[in-house]
Amino acid sequence: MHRPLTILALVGAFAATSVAFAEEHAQTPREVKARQGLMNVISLNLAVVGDMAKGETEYDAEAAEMAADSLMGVALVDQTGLWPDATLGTQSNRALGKIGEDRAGFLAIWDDFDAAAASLQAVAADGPEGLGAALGELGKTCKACHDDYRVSR
Amino acid sequence: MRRLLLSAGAILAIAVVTGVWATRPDPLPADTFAGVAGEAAAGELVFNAAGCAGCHSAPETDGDARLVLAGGQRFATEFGTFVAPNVSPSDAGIGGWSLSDFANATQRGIAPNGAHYYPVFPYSSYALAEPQDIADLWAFWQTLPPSDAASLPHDIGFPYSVRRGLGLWKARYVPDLMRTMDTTDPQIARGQYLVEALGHCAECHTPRDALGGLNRDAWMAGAPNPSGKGTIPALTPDKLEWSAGDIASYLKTGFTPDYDSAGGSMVEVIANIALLPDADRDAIAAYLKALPPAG
Repeated sequence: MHRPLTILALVGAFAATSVAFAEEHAQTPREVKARQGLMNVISLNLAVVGDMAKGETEYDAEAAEMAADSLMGVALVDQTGLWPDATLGTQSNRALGKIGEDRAGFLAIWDDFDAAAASLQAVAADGPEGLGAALGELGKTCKACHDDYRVSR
Repeated sequence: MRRLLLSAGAILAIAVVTGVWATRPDPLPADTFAGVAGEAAAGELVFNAAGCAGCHSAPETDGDARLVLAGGQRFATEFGTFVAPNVSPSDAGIGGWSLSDFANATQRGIAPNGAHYYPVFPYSSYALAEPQDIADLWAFWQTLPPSDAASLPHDIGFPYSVRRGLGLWKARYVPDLMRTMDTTDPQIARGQYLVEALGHCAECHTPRDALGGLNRDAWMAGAPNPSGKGTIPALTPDKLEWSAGDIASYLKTGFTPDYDSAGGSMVEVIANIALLPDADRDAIAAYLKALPPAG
């Protein structure tokens, strides 16, 4: 039939998709990239202590302490400039518009994260026994924020 | 002409009688609870495993407030929007019920007045529960706080608004035994009971056909999200690559193996399942790892 036309259409569609993807990627605001980076730093360091708490990796006091320090490092990053209104409630990321409507409530959970990270820091080098409880408290702050301020899926 | 009318009348009468018969409620045998005494302390585990508070607590509640089964959560589906009723032990709830009423509701989907409940209430899973567990659950129910909140009507259009028709649905879809797996391993069997009967996991994780019945040939193969965007993931070992330890840990802590926190309806599920003993979460994980592949 119209084989060359079909191929042309396919190539066109592919090119359009690629351009759209590249544009969207290039346009990801720096604030969004920064906070997604922070979330990745959190999850990577939680994995270090979490896997030790679960007994999946051998306890290593130094590694546990460094992971806890890194979590504290994230807690110390000032969040006030990282969540501009234009980046909330959009299709491109999971941050809800509610963050902009309730900044005090949102930042209060970051304070809870700060306190929980400090508690983990305090016990991280003391052995694997205390990790589970401290991680449980930290996990509650993740859940509290994600339940209220992140697109649920 | 008269003969024709008579024949038509007879056919109509047969159709009505057949319809009434085919859609009649089918209650539990009267002696189901003979010699069974419920214990409230044991019923708490059943309550948590069955996730009763997940749907029947008031919207947006946490902690002990989840024990007030005031209802009011809304569930939008392609058949209409269902509103969870008040099922607390009070006049506005189910305070006047007997154990038999409770068992027929949870395991047969029949109200005390004989009306069918919609299968959004997962009685087709609870049907598989042991009488002892139902009796324990009912004993625990009596210890829950009452609520005087009025139950709100569902928002369901015709023909689904005709509850009588659910009799046919039940005859076709409500199983009378666990049939996805035969196992002699006690841990897997416990997991099967928790997943298939009390936990009613398949209600979301197994796809449904056009009439809303579970497609048992695609058991736990994942499905479109009944309440909106996205999909519910498959739990079969060929699709879910988490280890048994990862699954048990997720159900306890809410952390995925990548240390993201759980989202969607699983937040509510984990709030209940996290309250079970470790051995039960391990059993759930063992059962999931033993499932046949979805293909």
